[in-house]
Amino acid sequence: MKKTNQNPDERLAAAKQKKKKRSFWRLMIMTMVLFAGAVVIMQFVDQATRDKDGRVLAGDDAPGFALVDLYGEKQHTMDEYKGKGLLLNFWGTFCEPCKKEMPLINDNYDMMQKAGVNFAAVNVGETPVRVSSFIKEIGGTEYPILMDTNSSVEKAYGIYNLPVTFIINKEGKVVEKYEGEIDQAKLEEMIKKANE
Amino acid sequence: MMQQEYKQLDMRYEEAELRSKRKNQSWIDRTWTFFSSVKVGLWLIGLIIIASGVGTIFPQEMYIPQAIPPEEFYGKEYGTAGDMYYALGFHNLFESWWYIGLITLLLLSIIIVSIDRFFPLYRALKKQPVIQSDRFMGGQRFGAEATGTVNQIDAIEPLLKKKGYKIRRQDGALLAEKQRFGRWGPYINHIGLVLFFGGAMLRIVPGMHEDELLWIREGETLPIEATDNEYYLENNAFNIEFYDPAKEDEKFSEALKRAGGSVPKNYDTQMTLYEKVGMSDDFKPKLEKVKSGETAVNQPFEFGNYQVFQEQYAADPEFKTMSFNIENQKTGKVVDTIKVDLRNPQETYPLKDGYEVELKDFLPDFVVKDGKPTTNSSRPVNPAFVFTIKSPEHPKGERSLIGIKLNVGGDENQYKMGFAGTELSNISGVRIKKDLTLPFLFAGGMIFMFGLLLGMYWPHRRVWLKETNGQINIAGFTNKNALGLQKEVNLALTEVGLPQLEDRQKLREEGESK
Repeated sequence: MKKTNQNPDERLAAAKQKKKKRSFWRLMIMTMVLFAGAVVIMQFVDQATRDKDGRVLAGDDAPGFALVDLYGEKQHTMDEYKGKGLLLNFWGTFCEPCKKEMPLINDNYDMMQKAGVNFAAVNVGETPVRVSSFIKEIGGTEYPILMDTNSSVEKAYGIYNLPVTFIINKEGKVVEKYEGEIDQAKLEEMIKKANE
Repeated sequence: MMQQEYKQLDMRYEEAELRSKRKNQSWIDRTWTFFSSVKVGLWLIGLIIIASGVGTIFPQEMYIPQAIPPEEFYGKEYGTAGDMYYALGFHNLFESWWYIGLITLLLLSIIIVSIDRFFPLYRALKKQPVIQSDRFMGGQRFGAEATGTVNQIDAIEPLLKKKGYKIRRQDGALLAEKQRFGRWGPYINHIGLVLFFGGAMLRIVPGMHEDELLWIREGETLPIEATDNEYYLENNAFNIEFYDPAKEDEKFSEALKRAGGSVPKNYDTQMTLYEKVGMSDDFKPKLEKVKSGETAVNQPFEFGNYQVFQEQYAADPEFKTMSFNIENQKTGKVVDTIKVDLRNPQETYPLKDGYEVELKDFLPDFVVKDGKPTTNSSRPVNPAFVFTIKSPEHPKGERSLIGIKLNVGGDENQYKMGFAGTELSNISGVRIKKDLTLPFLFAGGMIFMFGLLLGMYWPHRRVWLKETNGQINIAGFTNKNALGLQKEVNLALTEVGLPQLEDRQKLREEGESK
């Protein structure tokens, strides 16, 4: 039963207190439900702006990788390249423009390194026999050739056309995805973008 | 005697003061009041139903042909209506911001309505008095009045008790009540709904829901991306069985023939699951076998929270290995045989008696471009090999290019590579699924059904009897199935000599229509 020994002022204060508490809980409940809804909406909007086939595009975080080079000497990981710009190139021995751009990249590799930008070329799931024969044929490369033997990195980046080069900045974000053969002007532009 | 007419009471919430009906001041309370209206909830449900209906007029985005971009498809196929459909987001309705927004508002409405009604109702039912006022009893839908004594009320008590009523007495008056829990049905129902929608929303939480299609060749071990590459799956064998038109019933054999004779009867994959336990020195994952099993259509292979379903298979098997005999062309004697794994060829193959074969190049999809041998892709469709055979007679090696029906530069050599067979491997397409939201959907659905049953089949029934100055006042309440209450109570009333319950609402309606 209600306490009757309170004076009107006390009762009013108690009622006000109760009302405040009620308002607080009402606000909490409404905020929580609306917040949950907003999170779901944002997630779907985010998904809609991303590519349906899982292709990595400009603005996405570059997926991590850990790949061994052609000679089985060293493992290269995404983390190792963080803090510096990275041009991540995907290529195959069966791709003509890939073959054409490789000497140009090789000639510029020193300059790139000096400018603080790394370059790595991921081969898309070919056999070491084939790749080493091909590399011998073009006279070797200064930059690392990474072997994606089970195509998992190729899958993670959603590669469809070759060659393709991802310009990744210091924070590990993809700045641009460039499909096609790289020429001198494009390469210099890429180095600039990766360094921004 | 003039019977006093009372206005019928709305008993849905036992006349309890609903919180939202109080005077409001702040915007918080005003918003709360808005959503506490059942009318608003019904409007939201109506809008959701209409939107969902419109969403089925044209196909959703995931069902349209992939070749045409959706922004062009709807306009081209359905004209202006299609363009509008796309512009308003109906093409991807169930993930559109305003559809999810409507669902969210409905959820909010359900929660607020429940809180607003449940607590006052609970309190009112918890402390109901046995003796009710004449206004209250007269305002019930069922009731009757007659002269009588308290003895009659005493006599009816055991009769009602037998029917399962709980009896409370006070100063001769009686309150019989049963199945009060039936009143909680709608609220339990709402809890189920909130759980169900909440579970559906949980899908977006990373790790709650995974879905991946993995193409895996026989003999191949691949990381499962859906498990963050923590688990690897090996395809030990893929089996496929076709219907044989000759052996089947005549009814089907013609249809089978028409289909080209290659209708699969069953296909399944024998697989082994490995867990990655670390990396080895040569940067290969160290794998530990977890279990093996098989997956057939509709019979998943399960591990942890994951299920692996057999979904597809590649129509054409792929070359897996090729074997060659190293022959002395003059004597025709076979020196040795090598087997080349096309996915992982070795660079050198040591043979007996100091012979050795070096694989200089491997072209999985052989073509000649600009007069030079090269490969068209990385798939072993038309494999060709550049071999060097080192023999005691030719320590530097004899070179030749070998492929399918192809032998370049090998004719003058003393030793040649002779084709000695091939192994094929099938490619199995398995779908890896994980859905931790299912228990929520299941529990939500069950609770919803439970609440529905409670509300539908267990009506809350009450009977009040009170005696004042030789007059007996009877009132009855039920929230469902009026006839059931009358049948149950009238029997007892007649037995103790009291009049039967009248349906005042019916009487009033009949009076109005006359």
